[in-house]
Amino acid sequence: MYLAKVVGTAVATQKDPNLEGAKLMLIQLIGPDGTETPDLHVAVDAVGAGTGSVVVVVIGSGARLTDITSPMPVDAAIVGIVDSVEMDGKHTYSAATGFVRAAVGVKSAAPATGPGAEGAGGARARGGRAGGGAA
Amino acid sequence: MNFARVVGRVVATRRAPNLTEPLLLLLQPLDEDLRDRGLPLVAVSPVSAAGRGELVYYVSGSDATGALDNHFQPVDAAVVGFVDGYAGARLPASQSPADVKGEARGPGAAHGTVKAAGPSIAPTVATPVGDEGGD
Repeated sequence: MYLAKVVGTAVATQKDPNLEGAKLMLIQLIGPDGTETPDLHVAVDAVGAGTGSVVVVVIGSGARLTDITSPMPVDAAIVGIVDSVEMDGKHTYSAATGFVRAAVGVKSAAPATGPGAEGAGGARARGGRAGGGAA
Repeated sequence: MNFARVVGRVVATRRAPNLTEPLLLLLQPLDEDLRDRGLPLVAVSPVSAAGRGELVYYVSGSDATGALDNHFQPVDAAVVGFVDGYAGARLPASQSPADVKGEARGPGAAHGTVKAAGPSIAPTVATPVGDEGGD
């Protein structure tokens, strides 16, 4: 599993019938200190996460092993909402206060114009392809 | 299976109902030089509560569920063993084995063995996976 931040939602009206009712979230993988990575995925939400939530996401066939996703053709699922993260003896995140940027380093403050933004574009393109596949 | 160091813990109380493994560990995957390799990940630890700094090996992908009592859990990484010692890894000059392990090591460490964690390490945890972990 990986830590991830929910950065948005994805809507697809034309989709596999088994995906009916699935809540598709756009997630960005992050490090334990909040470091953003360019990795974006569309994941099915199995816990009721919202945009901005820090979550645990399962990637791969394990994503199908929840009550919600078992009949679905999915390879990423949000399976937990993170309350806190502790790394090297320090709390780097709590749901109440967010990431403690000073806990590990400053490299975590990735600007919106960095590789993360590029990744977002890629994911959007991917979403578009999925939505338009039937057209 | 992959080699990693336990760097922390993740707490997530709101989770998929069938994700019953209580403990979510933060693992930093390592390369052969015991240097950090890639993004830290979240793994369950059915064998025992590994301590911070401990070297472990873990199964990733859908095979990770094989390490669990209840296989129907959305999990893609599971700690299956603790590393007592190792041979062949090229340690960085600044990093002695004692530093890596975080505690005193036995005289046999140079010809270290990799042993699956079992009841001897986790006396309070029933662990049917101890032997499977060594495959």
